[in-house]
Formats: sequence, C-alpha cells, structure tokens
Amino acid sequence: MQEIFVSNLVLSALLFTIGILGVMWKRNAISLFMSVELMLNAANLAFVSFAYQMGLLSGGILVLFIMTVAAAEAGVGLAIFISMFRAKRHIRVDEHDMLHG
Amino acid sequence: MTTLALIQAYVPNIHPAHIMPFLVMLVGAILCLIFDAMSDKQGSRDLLPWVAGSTLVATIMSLLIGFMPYNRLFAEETFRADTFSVLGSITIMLACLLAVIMGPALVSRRNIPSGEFYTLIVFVAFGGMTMALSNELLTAFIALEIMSLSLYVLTGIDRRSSRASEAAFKYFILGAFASAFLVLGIGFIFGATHTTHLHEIAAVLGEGSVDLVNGGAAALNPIWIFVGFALLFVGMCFKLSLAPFHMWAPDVYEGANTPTVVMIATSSKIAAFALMVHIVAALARWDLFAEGATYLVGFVALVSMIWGNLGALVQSNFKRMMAYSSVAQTGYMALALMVLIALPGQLEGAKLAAAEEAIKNAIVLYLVGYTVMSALALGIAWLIGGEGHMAGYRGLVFRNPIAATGMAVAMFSLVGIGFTPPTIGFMGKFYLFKEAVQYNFTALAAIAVVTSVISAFYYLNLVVTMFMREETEEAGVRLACMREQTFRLASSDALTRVAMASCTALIFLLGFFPNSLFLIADAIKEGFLR
Amino acid sequence: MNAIPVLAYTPLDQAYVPVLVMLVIALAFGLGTMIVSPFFGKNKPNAAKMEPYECGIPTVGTSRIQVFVRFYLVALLFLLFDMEIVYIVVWALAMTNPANAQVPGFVWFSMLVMFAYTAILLVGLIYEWKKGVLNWNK
Repeated sequence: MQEIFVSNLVLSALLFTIGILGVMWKRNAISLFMSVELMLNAANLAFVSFAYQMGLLSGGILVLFIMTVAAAEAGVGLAIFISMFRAKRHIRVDEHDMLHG
Repeated sequence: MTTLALIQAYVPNIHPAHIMPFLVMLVGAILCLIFDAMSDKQGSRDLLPWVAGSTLVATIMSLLIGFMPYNRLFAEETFRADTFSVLGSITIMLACLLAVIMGPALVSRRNIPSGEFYTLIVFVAFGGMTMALSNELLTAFIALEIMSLSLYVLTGIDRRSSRASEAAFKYFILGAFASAFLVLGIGFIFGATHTTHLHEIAAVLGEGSVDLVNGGAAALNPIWIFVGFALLFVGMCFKLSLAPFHMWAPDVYEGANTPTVVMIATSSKIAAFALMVHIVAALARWDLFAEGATYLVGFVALVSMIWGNLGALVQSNFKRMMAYSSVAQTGYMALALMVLIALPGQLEGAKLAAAEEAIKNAIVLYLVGYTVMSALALGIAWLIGGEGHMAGYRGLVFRNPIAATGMAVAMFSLVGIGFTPPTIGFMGKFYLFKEAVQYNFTALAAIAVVTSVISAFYYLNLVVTMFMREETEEAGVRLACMREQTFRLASSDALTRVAMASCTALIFLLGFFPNSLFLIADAIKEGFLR
Repeated sequence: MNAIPVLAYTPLDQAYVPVLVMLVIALAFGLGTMIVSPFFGKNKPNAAKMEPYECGIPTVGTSRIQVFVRFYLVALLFLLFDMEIVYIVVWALAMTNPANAQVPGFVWFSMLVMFAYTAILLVGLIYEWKKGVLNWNK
C-alpha cells in the first residue's frame, strides 16, 4: 500500500516535471497547451493518491471539479488559438512576437 | 414541503440570505447572456451595459446591506467575510463598473461582440468576489479560474487585432501554467492536513497532528506543507505579477484593451491578495512554517520592488510602464505580506491579533489606493487616447489641461514618498513601510523607500513631459492615431470623465482621512442599510 | 440519516489483475493469429488482392494537413457539454443508492438540484444556438 502511494506521487512529480519542460521547450501552441494539461493531470493524480492513501472521499470529488476547470480552460484556450491562427495563419509561438519592450 | 423548506432541510448550513451577493451576481450574469442571445437588433443590445452595471451596483448594495455574517464562517464553512474581503469585494465591483462604463466606446469603436464583453466583466467581478471571500482552497481555485478565464477572453476579445490575440495567448498559457502549480500546491496541503478549509488547516497546524479516518492520529509532515505552500505561492505570484514571475504583465497590458487592463491591474490583484492574506493567516500559526516562508515571500517582494522599478525606467510605452509599475507596487504589498507571516514569531495572543489586523488594514488601504490611482491613470490615458508611446504626452497641458492635471495627480500619488503628503499613495506606502520597520525589517523597508525614490524618475518624467515640454505636431498626431476612427460615444466618455473626477477626489479624500475606509467596513459590520 | 458509506477499497495490486489478464489474452490472440495464419493459408498475392478492400478509397496526399478550423469549434463545444456527465453520474449514483432512497423528500430535493443544474446548461445551449455556432454552413 505504502509503496503504491509513494510510486503514485513519484509518477505525479515526473509528469509535472515533463509538463514544465514541455512548456519551456515546445514552440507549438497546441503542444504548449498539452504540456499544461499534463501538469494539471499530474496534480490530479497527486490529489487522488492522497485521497486513496488517507481514505478521504473528498479528494476524489475535488478532482472532478479540477477536471471541469481544465475542460473550461481547454475551451478558452482553443478559442484563443483559433483567433491567433486567424491573425497569422499559423500558431508557432516564436513567430507571434509583436509585443516586446 | 415548500421548495425553500426542502432546501433548508437538506442544506441547513446554507442560508439563502447569506449568499445573496453571489446569487444577485449570478442571476445578473445569466440575464446579460440571455438578453444578448435574445436581442436581434443592435438597438436593444445598447441596453446591455445598463444590465451589467446595475448587476454590479446591486451587488455592492447587497454587500453594504450586510446580508453576510461578519467575521464568521457561513455557507458550509466555505466563506468568511472580514474587513479585508468585504472592502476588497466592493473595490473589485467598482473597478469592474469602471470597465462597464468604458465599454460602450470600446465596443462601438472596435466592433466587439457586446454581449460577451459585458457578461464576462460580470463574471470577472463574480470570480473576484468569491475568491476574496472564500475560506476554502478549492472554492478559491474555481473562483480564480472563473476570473482568469474571463480575463483571458476579454484580453483577446478584439479579434481584429493580432496584438490582442497574442496578448491573450501569452496571458492564457502562463495563467494556465500557474494554475497547475496552484492545484499541485493545494493537493500537497490537502495531503498533509486532510482538509481544504483554511480554519481546519489552521487547527491541524496548531495541534501538530492529523486525525485519521480510522480514528488514529498521525504526525504532520512538514515537507508536504512547505512544498505545498511554495507551489501555491509560485502560482499566485504569476497571477499577481510578482517578479520573477511577471513576464506576461507588460505584454498583456500593451496588447489588451484598456478596460480589461483596468480589471487585470486592480480586480485580479485585490482578489489574489485577499486569498493570499487568508492563506498566510491560516498557515502562519505554525512557527516552523513562518521561518521558511518569510524568506520566500521576502525574496519575491525584494525582487519585485527592484525589478519592477528598474524595468519601468526604460519603458517608452505608457501601458508597459504601468505594467512594470504594477509589479513594483505589488512588491510593496508583498512586503507587508511577509511581515504578516513573520508576526507570530514576535508577538502572542491579543497583541498578535491586533497587529495582524493593522497589517491587513494597511494592505487593503494600499490595494484600494492602488486601484484608484491606476484606474485614474489608465482612464485618462483611455480618454485622451494616450495608451501608446509616451511622446504623445508632450505638452498635453496646452491642449487638454484638465486631463494633464488629473494624470499628474495620479503620477504624484503613485510615487507616494517625499512629495505631496495628502494623497492615498503616500498614506498607503507610509502605513506599509511603518509596519515593516515596526517588526524589524528595516533593511527591506529602506530598500522599499529607495526604490520608491527611483520610481519618481519615471512617474515624474511623464509629468515633466506633459507640463514642461513644448507641444509638437508629432505628439498631436500620435494621440490622434491612437484614437483612430475618432468615433467615440459621448455618453460613455462623459461617464468615464465623472468616474475619473471621483477617482481624483478619492485620492485626496483617502489621503487626508485614510480611516474613512475602515468606517465603511465598520458600518457594513452593523449592516447599516438594513 | 446514515453516515456516508465509505468506498470499500480493493488493494491496488489485486484491483488491476483482471485488466492484466485481459491485456495478456488480447495480445496473445492478436499476435497468435498473425503468427499462425501464414502456416495454414496459401500466400499468392496479386494486384486485385492487394487493394484495400471495403476500407474506403486509397488515400490522397499526406495525412499531416491542417484541419478545418470549425472542427476545433465543435471539439470545444463537445468538450464543455461533455464534462457535465461527470456530475450527472455522481448525482445518479446518489439517487439510486438504496440508503438515500429511504430519506423522506430526497428524490424531490435531488430532482430540484438537477433541474437547477440543467437550467444553467440550457442557458448555455440557448446562447450557442442563438449565436449560430451550431450552424455548420454559416
């Protein structure tokens, strides 16, 4: 039981780190967003494994809410990507660089 | 059984009157949405700002009437109204109201879908208020997301501008990135303390052990709480645009439309600060935490003060300058946050409670002051079309003396230290720095004063540009370009002018009588309109 | 009213044994048929046999193309209205829980909650519809 809990947390930390690295290195808007979603789901995994380990029902319910928020975020994100695409006909982040100091 | 009795039987801890402000706001937002969907002609859509505005005003009224119990948990222990959160909520509403007032000119000028614009403003206010009042981390997170998602869309709502979509994209990706940190932080705190309610977290930390489901008790795991708070704080730093997590702010301020910038600069910061203060007050009961977190928050405050002010020095775009200035100003407030964390190590009992109250009041005074000052600066820039290069301000006093004077008042108040004492900017900074000195953070307070003096260079540079430089042909052209298509709505602009005049009045009123703000809070505690 | 029943947790190492067995059987069947079939069948290919049969027309161009932007719109509308299931399932489980059915007024209360929930979703649907997002040809 304890080993599974620890391995879940390690998996969650790994996924979160992969997400961070993805946000830093990826240059396509959709890939960036996928990395962010990976981070959110890593956090969800941490929530669930805590809830499972401690026998707390509430942890599982919190995850449902976070999933909903992630879905709403995906909706808004895709809409913003579409409007970005309409501006320049591509979503390569590097080449959207009109704003700088 | 009647419907109400049925609800009462099942959720006895949620009294409908207690959550009245939330209900008013939600109904108003849905009304806006339906009104927009059902109106076929443009003429009826012109009523939308009135619907949104009256929703906000009704919410302010319901907050003033005092439906919510004060300093007590309500609605299943999810919310808690204290001076900070109620004053913060009212200020959030007022800032959003300013955005609604500025709205019609923007909507007609840039041909923006009006229904979405006003509905999202109401949702920003809803998220901000819920976040400021919440006593539960998940509720706070969802409220934060409601506010942030609305702000992302509002940033990019001008679809014909590729700058706006780029700003929306940057804001969105970094905001979503930050909320992932936030969720993981909440997860770790939940794992350590088995609850997401702040008062229960405080109780668990006070005992030093967690009750398990099977009846036993386990020792608290300090590492999880530290990691949790660090992640949560990093997430909030992104939202608050505290350095070194402020990279999005200048770009978003530059690319977004000005009514949205007003909300980003004020509403989102008030809400996030209210949440941070509540979290910190819950966690700081544990001395081990206080020691570690003081360094973390102090470091962020230090970096923000220095980086924000130095960054603003080299800006030539008005809105970018305001963005860096907001980084610096939040840095000053983070300084007070740090004092709040370090406090339980220095004081005890009733003294501690009184000192905490004083610091919270200093932060909320500065937040309200910052809201008024930046609303004034951004609002005037919006009215004269000076949102771009600052060369456009050359000799403004000869063309538009009233606007130039108002802008000068805002700038003097933003500097705050050493000039014109009776402004809210001065009083706010005075109280913040006083608290820092009083609890032995003299070095940081000294750095804060020095950076304030540095900030005088760029704020007063604008004043000099407006008053002492000669008007040039180019400057006039720049402003005219910014106002493009020059089609402005007289009614919206007139109301904005009224709002700017009241901001100017507030700067001096609160500068002379800073305590009047807390008189309002005391009056609400009694429910003075009831 | 009874306390909320705590879920009976199966230890993780046992909970996934059926999945593992299923995986092994599926792999064994799939790989087994692929490996075994050449030994039994005669292999005489010709042009007609090599054509994709009942699998649509031969592909044209590469599959790495940009997708029409409207698909994204449909995807995100679907996503948002998909998430409501998460809550409805929880609601339905609570509704059908025999322990809850004993409580007086429970059915009415949960129906009320669900009506309020659906009404908010309905507002969203009406908004979408009136804005013409559901019209593909627009």
